[in-house]
Amino acid sequence: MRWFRRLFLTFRMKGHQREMEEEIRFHLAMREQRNLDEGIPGDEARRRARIRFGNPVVWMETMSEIDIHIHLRSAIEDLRFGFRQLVRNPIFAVTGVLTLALGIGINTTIFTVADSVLLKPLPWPGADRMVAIYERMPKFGVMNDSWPDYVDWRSQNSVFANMAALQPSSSTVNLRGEDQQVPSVAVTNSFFDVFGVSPILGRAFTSQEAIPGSGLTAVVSYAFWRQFLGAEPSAVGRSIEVDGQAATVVGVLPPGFSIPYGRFEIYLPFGVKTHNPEVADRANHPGLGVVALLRPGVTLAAARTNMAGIMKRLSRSYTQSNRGETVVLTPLRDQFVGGARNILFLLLSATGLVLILACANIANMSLARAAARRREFAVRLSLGASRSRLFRQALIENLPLALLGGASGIGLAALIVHPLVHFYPHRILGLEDARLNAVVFCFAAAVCVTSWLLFGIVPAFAASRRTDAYTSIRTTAPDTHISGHTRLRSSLLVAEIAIALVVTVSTMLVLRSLLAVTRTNPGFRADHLLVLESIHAGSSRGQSAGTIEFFRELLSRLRHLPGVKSASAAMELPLRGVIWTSPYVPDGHPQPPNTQQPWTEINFVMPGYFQTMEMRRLGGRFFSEADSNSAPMAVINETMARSIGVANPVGGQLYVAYAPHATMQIIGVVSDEKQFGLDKHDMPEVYIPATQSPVPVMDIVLRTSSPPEFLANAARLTVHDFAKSRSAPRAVPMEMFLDSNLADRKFVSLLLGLFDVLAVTLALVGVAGVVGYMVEQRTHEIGIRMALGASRTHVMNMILLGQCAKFACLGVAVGIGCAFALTRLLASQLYGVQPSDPLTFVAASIGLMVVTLLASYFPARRATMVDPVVALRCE
Amino acid sequence: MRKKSDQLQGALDLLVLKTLEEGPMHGWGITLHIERTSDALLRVEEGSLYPALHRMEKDGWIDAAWGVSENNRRARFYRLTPKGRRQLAAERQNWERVTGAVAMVLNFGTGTN
Repeated sequence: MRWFRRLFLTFRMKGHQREMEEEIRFHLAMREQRNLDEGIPGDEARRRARIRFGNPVVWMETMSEIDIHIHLRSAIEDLRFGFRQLVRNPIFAVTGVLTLALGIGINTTIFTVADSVLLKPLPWPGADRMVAIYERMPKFGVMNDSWPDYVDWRSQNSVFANMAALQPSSSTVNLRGEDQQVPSVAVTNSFFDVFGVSPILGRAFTSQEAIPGSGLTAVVSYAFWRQFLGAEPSAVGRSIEVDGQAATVVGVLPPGFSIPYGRFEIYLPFGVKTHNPEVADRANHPGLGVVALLRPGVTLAAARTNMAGIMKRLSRSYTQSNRGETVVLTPLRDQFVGGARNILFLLLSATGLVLILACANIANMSLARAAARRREFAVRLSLGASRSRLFRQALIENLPLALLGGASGIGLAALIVHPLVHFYPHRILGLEDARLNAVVFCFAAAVCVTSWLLFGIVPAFAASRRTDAYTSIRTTAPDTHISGHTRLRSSLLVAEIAIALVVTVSTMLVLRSLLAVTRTNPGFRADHLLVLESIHAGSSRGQSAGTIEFFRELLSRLRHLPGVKSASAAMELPLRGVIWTSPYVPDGHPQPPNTQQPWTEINFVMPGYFQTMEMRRLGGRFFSEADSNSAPMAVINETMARSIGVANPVGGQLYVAYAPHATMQIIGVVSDEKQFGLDKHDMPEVYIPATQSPVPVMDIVLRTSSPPEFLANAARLTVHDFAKSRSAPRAVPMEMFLDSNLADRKFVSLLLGLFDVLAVTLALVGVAGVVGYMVEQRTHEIGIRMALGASRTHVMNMILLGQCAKFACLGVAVGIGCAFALTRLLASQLYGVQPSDPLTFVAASIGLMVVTLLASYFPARRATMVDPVVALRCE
Repeated sequence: MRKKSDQLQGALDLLVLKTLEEGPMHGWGITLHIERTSDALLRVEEGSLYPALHRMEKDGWIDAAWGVSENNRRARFYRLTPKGRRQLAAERQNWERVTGAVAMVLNFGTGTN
């Protein structure tokens, strides 16, 4: 309390101080005079007076203590009064608390997610210093890293404490005699240090394992150890079969350890691959990711400069593979949270606006109450209550509402965070750990106080405004002119309509983007298409001939299933990204890979793939079974045909550096299929017949005549029977991939839509309330008008068009201005629609005008029902 | 926050209110009045008087205004408000009840023996 008193003294006592000092001086002088009168000599008389008085500083502090006490007491009284008011007006209380609870609840919920995804520290010791590094090709964009480049970065940089490379993939592990596909990752030895993890059993990799040709070892995840190795300590040292090779398990990682690159079960030493020609080729980018740990004190900018310098040197030394190549350094969180940041920002803005609307509504309701109590306040002012006292009272009276609303809001958030997180279609780093914690509570408290001030300050100002006490007290009827209250309420009204418009425009833009993406042609017919995922021809059968026979035979069996119209297979199905890219030369002249060349996707397909997918043939022909022994050939997509720039590319030569046969003849052109996602640009793509260059793992597609789900089981059983010991594959209708591609947008659209409904509802409730109040204020005037012969329609028009339409127009105008400025921040979320799309703006404006007028219609109608006699007599 | 005994504070309040019932008076005058009328038995501490005046002013029992003292100096005069008058009546009644009760307790032994 002591510091508080000091603070109080400094702030409050300045003015009183002089008065007090004067009072003390007077007292001392009188006492001194009395002492003199009693015969005590001059100096002694003064001294005694002072001693008797004691230390004035001490009792001045005592006085300020009294002041605090009184303030607190009056605050508590106001608070209790506020609570009593709430109890006495249950409708106001329930509406207010509900509105506020919704506003604070949705804000707290979204913030909880944002806190978990964007603010909470990542689970690795040096996470805030971890940087993901990728390369940027001058003619392609961001790309995974080349191994020799990584080696040079590691040895030449002066900014990183450590650096690791990792190559995610998938391995076939033979467990209990059955092959199992398991996500695996090859890592450099430094990986475990960079992520600050050490095995709970056994050890990590040593330099021994980096030597090619040494026996293969593996570190396994805790989950893998429990599930497949019996959770036995003796599992370390045991041998498992990974991709047909014996590997010794040397370590088990702690439970819960995971990295943002994926959920890996098996960690293999990357060292054994370093002499592999594909890895040693500087121009090749074999799917490597690099994570580096900044030295303490080194900024990201410094690291970028340092790395840019290294890349410049590499660019000069290795012109063929590195010319113009740069690096992209991104903090690990940004790398993996990426788009979620924008989405969360968008949602938080929307919930913030809803909260402001909620506050405006409560302020409006409080104003209505304050209007009823205006006479009370006027009387108190005239009886000497200070304006600051009334201001304080009006503000504190609203605190119970804020407290109840805040508490219910936090409760609401606690209820909906969990379902919301599970409803979110994809995995985001940190999303699953979203919980209400101390940070969230602080945020909720801050929101609560802010909204209290927002909705409390307006009625507080209204209550403490200097009014003409005489007329206020004398008048028994509500005043007929537009009072200050009305002006305040109409500005609130305009603000509410404006905010509702901003939210509506944003929501409509996001919805239209969703529609645009939905309408995007994926390049194939997605319905009646069943996908059998990751079918392995089996590594033991050896490459080529066996593999292709396997798929031929399996496809022919599947084609014979009732309900299957056709069947084929591809290495990379659309909408699922690509794993194989390469530089290419359009005119077919062999050239070593060069950074200045364009890049293409490479896909391997079985004959009949394009027909099964129902893609359009734009020229030449598609693959047939007879092609297996012909010269290397390829079908290209529309985008590549355009990039080649010849009228008819069919028959021409194509050189694709990393294709199995680099020089190929183009035999056909096919329409583009969306390889990465519906809202992503098309890339050049070259299709290579799997009959010429077999790949061991492919996805199978079945065109069905009945709904694809009906065939799922039969197809899975067919694969299982044919492939003998293998477990049945996953069978998924292609439309599910389409849905999952849209899921993010649907999720955001749904939430925004909900928030928009809330925002518009709140605004309309506000409109109805204010119009009702205005009409009530004009009852007397309307009575006179009707007594003098004005018709109902006339009165209706006067209110609706004369007043409400004016406010609606003003609100919409302000809203358009704000929306225009704000929607450009949305640009990254939009697809196929401009942030300032005129149609959206016009539609939202008209829609909001219409509902605003509708909301004002009912209170306005009540005005026309007024019986002139009653209206005139009510004074 | 420190809190003094309510009884003592109540007594000082009562004395001050009663003094002011005579008419508006400044702090020095109140001190003097209480000393005189109690035959110098009660000595008002300035360190208690002024805070008490301040509190009673805030509570609305008394009003304060600057005026001119008997010897032509600027002094702060305190005056009883209607609320203060009611408070005086209440405190006086309370005081009499308490002192009466104390007397009954003190006289209990002498009465029965």
